[in-house]
Amino acid sequence: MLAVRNLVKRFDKKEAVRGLSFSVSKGEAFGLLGPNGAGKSTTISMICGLLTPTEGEITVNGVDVARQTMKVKQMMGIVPQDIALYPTLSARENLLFWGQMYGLTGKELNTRVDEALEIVSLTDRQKDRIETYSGGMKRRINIAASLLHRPELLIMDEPTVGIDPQSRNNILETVKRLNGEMGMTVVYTSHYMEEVEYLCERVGIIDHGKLIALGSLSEVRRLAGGGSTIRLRVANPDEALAAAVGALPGIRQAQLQDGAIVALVTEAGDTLAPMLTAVTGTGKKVLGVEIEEPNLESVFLHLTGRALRD
Amino acid sequence: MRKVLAIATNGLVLMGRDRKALIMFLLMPMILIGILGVSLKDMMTQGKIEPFSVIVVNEDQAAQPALPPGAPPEVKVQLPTIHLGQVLIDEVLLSHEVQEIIRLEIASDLTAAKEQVQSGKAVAVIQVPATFSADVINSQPSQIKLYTDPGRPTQADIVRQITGAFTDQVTSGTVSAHLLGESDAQSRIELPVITQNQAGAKTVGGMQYYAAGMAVMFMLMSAITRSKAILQGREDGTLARMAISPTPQWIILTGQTLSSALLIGAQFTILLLGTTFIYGVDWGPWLPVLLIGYSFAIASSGIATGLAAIFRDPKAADGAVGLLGMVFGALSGSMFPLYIFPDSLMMVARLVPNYWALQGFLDQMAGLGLSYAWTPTLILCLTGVVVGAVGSVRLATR
Repeated sequence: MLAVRNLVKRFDKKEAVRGLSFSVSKGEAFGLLGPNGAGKSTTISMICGLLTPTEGEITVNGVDVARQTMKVKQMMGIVPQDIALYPTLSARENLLFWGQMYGLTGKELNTRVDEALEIVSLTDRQKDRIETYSGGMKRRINIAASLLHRPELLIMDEPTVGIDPQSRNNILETVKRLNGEMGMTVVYTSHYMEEVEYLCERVGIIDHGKLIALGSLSEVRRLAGGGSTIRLRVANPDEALAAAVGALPGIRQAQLQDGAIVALVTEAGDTLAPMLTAVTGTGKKVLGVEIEEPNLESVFLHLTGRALRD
Repeated sequence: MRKVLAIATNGLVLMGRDRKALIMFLLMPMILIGILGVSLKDMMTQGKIEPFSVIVVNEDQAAQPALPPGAPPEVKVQLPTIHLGQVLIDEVLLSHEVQEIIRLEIASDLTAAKEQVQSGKAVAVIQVPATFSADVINSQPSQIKLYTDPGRPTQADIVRQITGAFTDQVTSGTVSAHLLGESDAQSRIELPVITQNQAGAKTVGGMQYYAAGMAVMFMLMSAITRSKAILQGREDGTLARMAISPTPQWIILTGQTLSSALLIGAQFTILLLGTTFIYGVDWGPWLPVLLIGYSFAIASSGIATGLAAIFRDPKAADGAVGLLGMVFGALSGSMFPLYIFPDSLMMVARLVPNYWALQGFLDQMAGLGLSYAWTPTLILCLTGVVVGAVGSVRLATR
């Protein structure tokens, strides 16, 4: 369905995307994971024809994006990272306008708007102005606007940024349904690894414009070497403490993140006790411990030495 | 075409939902027109045109009337030499009455004189042809030629009235040719009544002046606000969303420009009707007034697109609404009557599209009619198309 080959994007001297290649099959949900500024949105912008690649090729259903941009745009639905809606228009008015931008008119347009509102479960609020909506509801209409023309390929650029957990779950369920029940091919970018793990069968991890891992979830997880992540919440932690923990045997990497020391370890059972001893030995109080099984976060940590949210 | 209309309609709906903008661009001008029109009424009716420069290129050669058939040859000696070009200068243009409003310059180089008009240093060149006196004596058709500044129609019309009256009188026999050789010729040439506020038949009152002035000023302010709306779309992602739909960029830009034109045109229509029915303003004949008004809407829509290409973000455009609107408004005569402007400022004023719109409206209010609407209409439409096209290209490549 989607093929990206040797994609490069340079802005003046800065190379935002560096030789990216991946493909997405029909009906698949593919996750593009990476921290902020990794090049995800630039890649998406090139796929949807908003930016011209410096080098490389993108095809959708075998159609070259650069040569037949309009044809490709008709096949794709894009959910932008921004809530690209008119706040003073109602949800229905917004959808009617965006439907017209995809060439829909008359009865068909109205039917598609009804359908999209139903998918995002906002039929009852359709006459309310967007400015009166909560962040989560706006995000749902943002998605609905990209479904009106029943695209074969749905590209979602961080669609859950800045919303409450309940709305986030609602959006994830919607995406799951679009992919699973309606057979829509989905490319989902996020820096929330749990979302990508929940939705996608295959994943690509991008960092500094380069694809550093690509494969099925289990394949990519294995890249972390089967290691676990220990998250140690400590009162007043600092970099020196993180460095001291990182130097302990069995710990591959450790860093300070969100007031906790996050360590990638080979075997959690063997490493936890020395870690606790090292921390309490400095006089600092341990507030809590979490052990996570291998996941995309630990893969990213393993591959880059940094956390995804950095 | 359907998408162009959808984008244009959407822009109108969005503006219609913006109460602040509606108050600013419909209610504010109506209030200001009322206040300024009433308070500055006297100033308008007692207005005085500042003296302006006119150049005369007198190529006329003195001529002597032919002897009547059968007249003895010695009579010829008694016949005076007639030099009508010199009479026009000495007795008409240098008369006390005309000197109050015209600064006369005498030149011999016609090309250089025309350049003075083009550069705005003079309002008109009066060219008296070499055979003017001879032609008049021999009852042959002859004409004094005028080259005037289209940007200052009021002053140009005064010059036209003066030269026209002179030519009419010397060619129609009101003043007989032989008398023109005499020293009291001036007393026999009646000068036209020079209207100081406008060249037309009607007087433009304060309420009329400020109805046109404020309408023009607020229409341009709307254009700047539209540029903000275009930039807002860029910032909030709606423009990008349009761009990722199967809608070519030229359709998006055309839709947005059409939206601006419709919006500003609607604003003009409302202000035109509002001032006509609430304040009783007589704008003049509807056809030329609408022509000028909608041409200015086109010019403003082009300016909106052009400004969107210049400003970095909506905040910058927002800041410019007041500043640019006021500066352009003041420069074009929306705040202070055009006729009190010195020549140098008038030159600058002509670079501002508001000036052409305002001057066009004033000409219609003065009763000058459709023929006076073409120049502003053409200039305004051209401004809109050129500025809009340049802005569109820049926006598309930004």
